[in-house]
Amino acid sequence: MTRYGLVIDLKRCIGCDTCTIACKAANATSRGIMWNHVLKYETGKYPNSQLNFLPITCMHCEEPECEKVCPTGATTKRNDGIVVVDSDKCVGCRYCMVACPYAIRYFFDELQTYYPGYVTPYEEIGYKKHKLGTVQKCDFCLERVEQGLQPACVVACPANARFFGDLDDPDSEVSKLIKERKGFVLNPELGTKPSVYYLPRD
Amino acid sequence: MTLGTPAPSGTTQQEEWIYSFCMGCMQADCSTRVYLKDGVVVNIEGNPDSPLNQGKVCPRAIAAIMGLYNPYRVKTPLKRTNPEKGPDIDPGWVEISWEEALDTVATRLEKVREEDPRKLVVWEGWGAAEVFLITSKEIEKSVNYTHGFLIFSKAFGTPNEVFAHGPLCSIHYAANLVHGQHPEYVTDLQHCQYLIAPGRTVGPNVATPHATKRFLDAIERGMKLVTLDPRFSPEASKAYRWLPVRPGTELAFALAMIHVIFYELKKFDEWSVKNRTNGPYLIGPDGYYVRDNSTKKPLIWDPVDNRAKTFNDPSIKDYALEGEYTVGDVKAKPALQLIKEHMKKYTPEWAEGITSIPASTIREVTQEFVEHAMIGSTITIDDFEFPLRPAQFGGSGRGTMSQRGGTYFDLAGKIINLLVGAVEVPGGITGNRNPGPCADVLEPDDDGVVTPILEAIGIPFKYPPEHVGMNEFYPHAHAAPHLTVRAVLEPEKYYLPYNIEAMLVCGANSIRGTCNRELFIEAFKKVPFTATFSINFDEVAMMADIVLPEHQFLERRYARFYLVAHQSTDDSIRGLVMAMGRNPVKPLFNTKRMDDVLIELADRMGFLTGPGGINDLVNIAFQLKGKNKLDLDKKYTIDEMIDRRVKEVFGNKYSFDYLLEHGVIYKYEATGKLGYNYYYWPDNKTRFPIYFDRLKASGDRMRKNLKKHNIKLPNWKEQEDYFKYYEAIPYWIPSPEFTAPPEYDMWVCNWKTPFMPFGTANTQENAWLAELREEDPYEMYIWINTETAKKKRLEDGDEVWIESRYGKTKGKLKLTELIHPEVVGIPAGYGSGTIMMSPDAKKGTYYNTLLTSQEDTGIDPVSGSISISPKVKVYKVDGAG
Amino acid sequence: METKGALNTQKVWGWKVAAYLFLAGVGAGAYLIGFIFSLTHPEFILLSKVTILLAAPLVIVGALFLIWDLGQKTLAPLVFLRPLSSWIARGTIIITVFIILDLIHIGMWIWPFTWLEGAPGLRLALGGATSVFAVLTLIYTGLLLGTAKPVPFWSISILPILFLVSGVSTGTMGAALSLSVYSLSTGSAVEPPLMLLARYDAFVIILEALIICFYLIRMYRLTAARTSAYLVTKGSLAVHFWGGVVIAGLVLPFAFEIYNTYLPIANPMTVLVLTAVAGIIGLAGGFMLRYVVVAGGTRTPLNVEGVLVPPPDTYGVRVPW
Repeated sequence: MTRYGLVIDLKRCIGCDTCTIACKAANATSRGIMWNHVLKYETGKYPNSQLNFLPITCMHCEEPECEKVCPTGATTKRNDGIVVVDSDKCVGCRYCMVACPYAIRYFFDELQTYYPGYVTPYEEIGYKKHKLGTVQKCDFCLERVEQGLQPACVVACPANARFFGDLDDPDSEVSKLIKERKGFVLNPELGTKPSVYYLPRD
Repeated sequence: MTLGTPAPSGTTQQEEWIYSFCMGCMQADCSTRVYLKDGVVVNIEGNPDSPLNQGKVCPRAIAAIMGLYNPYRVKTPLKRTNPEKGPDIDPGWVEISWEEALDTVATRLEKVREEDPRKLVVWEGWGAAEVFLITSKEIEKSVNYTHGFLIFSKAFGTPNEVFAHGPLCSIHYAANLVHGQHPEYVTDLQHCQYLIAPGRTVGPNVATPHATKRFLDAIERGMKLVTLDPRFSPEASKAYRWLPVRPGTELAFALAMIHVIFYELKKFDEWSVKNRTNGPYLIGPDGYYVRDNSTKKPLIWDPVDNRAKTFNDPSIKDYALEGEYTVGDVKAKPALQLIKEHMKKYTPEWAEGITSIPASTIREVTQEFVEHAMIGSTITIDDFEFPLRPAQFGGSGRGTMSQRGGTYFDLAGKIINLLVGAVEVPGGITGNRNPGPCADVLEPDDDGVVTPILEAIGIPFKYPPEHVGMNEFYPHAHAAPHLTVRAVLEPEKYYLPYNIEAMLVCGANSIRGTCNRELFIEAFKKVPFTATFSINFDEVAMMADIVLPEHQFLERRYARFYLVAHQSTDDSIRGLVMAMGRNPVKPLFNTKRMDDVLIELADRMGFLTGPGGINDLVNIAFQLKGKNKLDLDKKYTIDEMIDRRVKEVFGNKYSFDYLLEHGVIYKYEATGKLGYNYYYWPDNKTRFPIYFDRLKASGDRMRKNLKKHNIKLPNWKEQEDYFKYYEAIPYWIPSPEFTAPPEYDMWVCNWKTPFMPFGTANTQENAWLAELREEDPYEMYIWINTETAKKKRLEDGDEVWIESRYGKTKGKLKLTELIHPEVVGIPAGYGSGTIMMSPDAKKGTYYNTLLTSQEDTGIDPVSGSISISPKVKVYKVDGAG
Repeated sequence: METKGALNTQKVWGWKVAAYLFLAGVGAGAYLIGFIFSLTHPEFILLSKVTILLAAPLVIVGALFLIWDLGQKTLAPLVFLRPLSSWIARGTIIITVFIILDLIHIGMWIWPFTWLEGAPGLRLALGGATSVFAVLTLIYTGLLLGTAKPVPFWSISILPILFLVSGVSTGTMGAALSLSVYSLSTGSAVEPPLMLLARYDAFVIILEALIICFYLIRMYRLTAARTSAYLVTKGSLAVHFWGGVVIAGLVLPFAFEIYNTYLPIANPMTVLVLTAVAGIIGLAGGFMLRYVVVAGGTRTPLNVEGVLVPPPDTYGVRVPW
């Protein structure tokens, strides 16, 4: 069974947001909606300060809260592990958004173009991918993945800090990295079993 | 490290795409794939075939899509109808045809050329980084840099080329002097184990892909990074140590390190100093080499034979580095002795008072540095034994060079590296000339010391001065837009024997990018005719009489020859000769490629053909030979010129078309042992200056010249203050900021970020980058240390004024632990714009109003750079305490 | 443990959702107390009729708010599809059944038919069945919010009980308000049922106040919930809470009810007017309770190997041009 997963190496991430904009370019999200974020936060006190980066996107959980609460069945988890939203079935109730512990689902309620009052040719084409009034999120670039390619964020990362592959294959790069570097997930106590692992920075 | 490895973790799409390359920053060396759907750009990814960026990009490369489709772009040629000029005054643009635009510009400029070609100032900036008629950096030793370096202006006949990045990019002197290379020097991250990086980025702070990867690989390998920086940067998050420092005081830190090496550790690379520096050269009481009476060669003292010998005497048994000796009737000391004596007063305790870095830390770092340098160790590459010195101090960074005394800092850094022998060897700092290491580079001059080039030689003095940029008075300066405008406004004060009648602006915006904005606006108002090449309505466009709309970079068919390593180097770029091709996207508006217009103008004005014309200079710049040479009397297109160059570099079976089809062509000319300059001049075959007699000579020459013509340096109240920066050994001089009134109790500093390292490619107006920077919790704020804010009763989100003695600016506070308690920090270059730019463009805090470029207050007299960290005060906007 | 940054309240569900929760509560609550009092005081026919008349319309209006809140309103019927896992689906079924049963009750007893007039046993059976769904309507909203794992302010088992009690209280006030208005316009005597309502609601209010105290105190123990509790009691929602929930929703109605019970007012007109006023104020307070719970919901921070970090804002950055 394939189970797609993402590994993000926090030792290498430099917080440049290339992944964020690569995702945006590949998926043509409206202004105000970003499927990937890079959270930036400090720990420690001066002069022992530390700056941390946390790229975060849909975790494609093994036990997705969003799938449980969706009343119409629009959100489902595929056999290959990718959690997708069928925008033809989504009514936009946003229950999934409150239920998602990682807050990475977005409600496309208003089209906001990048330049005021002007739709660029890029947006003209790109916004057709999205349906107003529905909830959207990262889909692991499944169109690309189905062609044997990698998600846009993984390809773009200049720090070579993102890896994608089959978590069920013990010889895949992602499986090996998680094992060797002791990869961890966010909020394991919630039991969502994310498919996105982080490699610790030390 | 294998060459030509495709992107390790990912493949790219398989839809319709074309090869291109990015111009989102000044490096402009990331090869890309541009994806199209029905002629519309729908995505941009890195080209996995490029050995440089290896399939990776930074946010700006992808954001170019929004730059291309920016509706605020200039769409047609324009003529002004409102005679009143200003960034916030409606110019009353009228659309004109290209024919009218070209005719107007050619006629005006031709008139100027007939009168006196010097009356034209050509402004150049990173916006024209790929335009070879404007930024022909391929020429190095053949044409002196500040003397007529840009093909177009040289053919026109004006020496007045002004680089907009000049005053904040004045980082070349020490590299030109010590390494004999241009533009700067970089770190060898393949071997380095300990890197002290002061006030600079090693890649991640601006997210340049290849430097970032190299940097992270080095960190993973175990390299220790020490950042010397008032703020905690993304790089510092990977660092072994962050040394928070008062900005502009890094020179004190460097001097103290040298003191610790001499007086406490008492350990340095003696072999290297004796054999590969001018440290053993005897210096007389006049501060210059003591020379042999007959050969005029500099002398050293052989302590075994107990007499002076010329430096290259084959009978030398050893070199004295200390002591006092008598040669003839002259009392002399080895240069190193002078340096050592000079550094005695610079104790770590003294440095602590100035930098705020604890003395114990200075000692620890110096000790770690010297230990990691592994003095005496070697490495064998291709059967050749090299010294291995895997510790490095420095790197030409704006944070430290753009300070009064910045040149001295760079030179002090050289001393540190030379003392451990970490210059031009594996693990050490190396110059970054293109295409890389070769035999010419470290060739010694008659004194046995590396031959300096370009800015280290400087231009000869002339009175009255030729250059509007006052290069005669600042012979080693990079470029001085800030002095240019002063001379334009007050030519008599600056002894300029002519008035400027025209400005041609090519990818440069000094009104925003420098300081003393009002002077620039006044200067542009005074000059009767300004034509700009513009992609958007920035400040210079708003001052233009004629605006010539330029293609956005994705629309330009072009080739770019890989220039130099930036930030760092390793085997993937040593000796790399590479060209990248760009297939254009169909232009959206009535725009043209800048160089096509320049060819047309040159043709109309009669300097395209013939000796000294554009063709002639392109032949020199591209080093075209044989049948690749351009016929001086024919008119060629830009594409044809590029084609000739591709053939010249790679061979006749290649062509521009081939390059466009394949994206990149590359080869390695110097691999293995040939990739290190030491190989060509090993042992004592060449020497680096550690005692900077040439700098002193330059100052002495200036004194003589001023006296000879009975003139004073313009705008220096105390003439001696200038000469203080022209001594042979760097020393600490407190800048005027140190005597600011006590109410100015904080320092301010600035840094580049991945979203806006430069204004190039109109990053300011780019809506995708705008969204990213607004979401970032640090980018659009003024940083202040949490404790400091508490003491001043300031809170997160407060709107405050930051005020220096020269200007003020405002913004919202961000309380953070990531900055020195005495420093406020303002990221990037936001907050400046015009009435015709997008609403996104003007958001944020504008930094440059805090600075001054007044000669005796705010510049480094050697490099001409502007001091970027004045003292400031911070207070709430509503005035309450 | 300290969170590295400020925690934001969720901005996904707003006042429309609160309005639905409120109206469904009033409707179902009214029906429920109507049924209970029809068992204990079968002579208060008017009270029974008023409560069953309030139920369905209020719940229908509430459901309209919900549909108004959807992104794709025309696809609304799809929300029934997943009752096995989704509380929205379950809830939609529950309120649909409740509405249908209540409409049957109205239709068979009041208008257009009065078949059940002479069949109190049947009415009781129907009322009992419908009341089950009334109770389910009251508590399912708490369960719906409660399954939002990342919002600890909602995932407390006391929430359904709070909504049940509040629903009963607001249902009572709604019934009282309706009776007063009816009496003012038709002149019929309503004093006995009003007194009954007032007397029992006073107890319900005390119970509600205790539950709210317990709820907020419990919330102070958990990180993200503490932020919510702080916002509600001292922060940006404090006015809504103290002014709306406490004073308007609890104190004033309670004061009036006690006063009216133990110090009866001589003038019946005054009683009616004051009951109506107290009813309106109390209902406003009841809405505020739902609003404060919904708007005060704060997400639990992300747990990055023990370091707590606020999650990304769910709505992105809207740019004011």
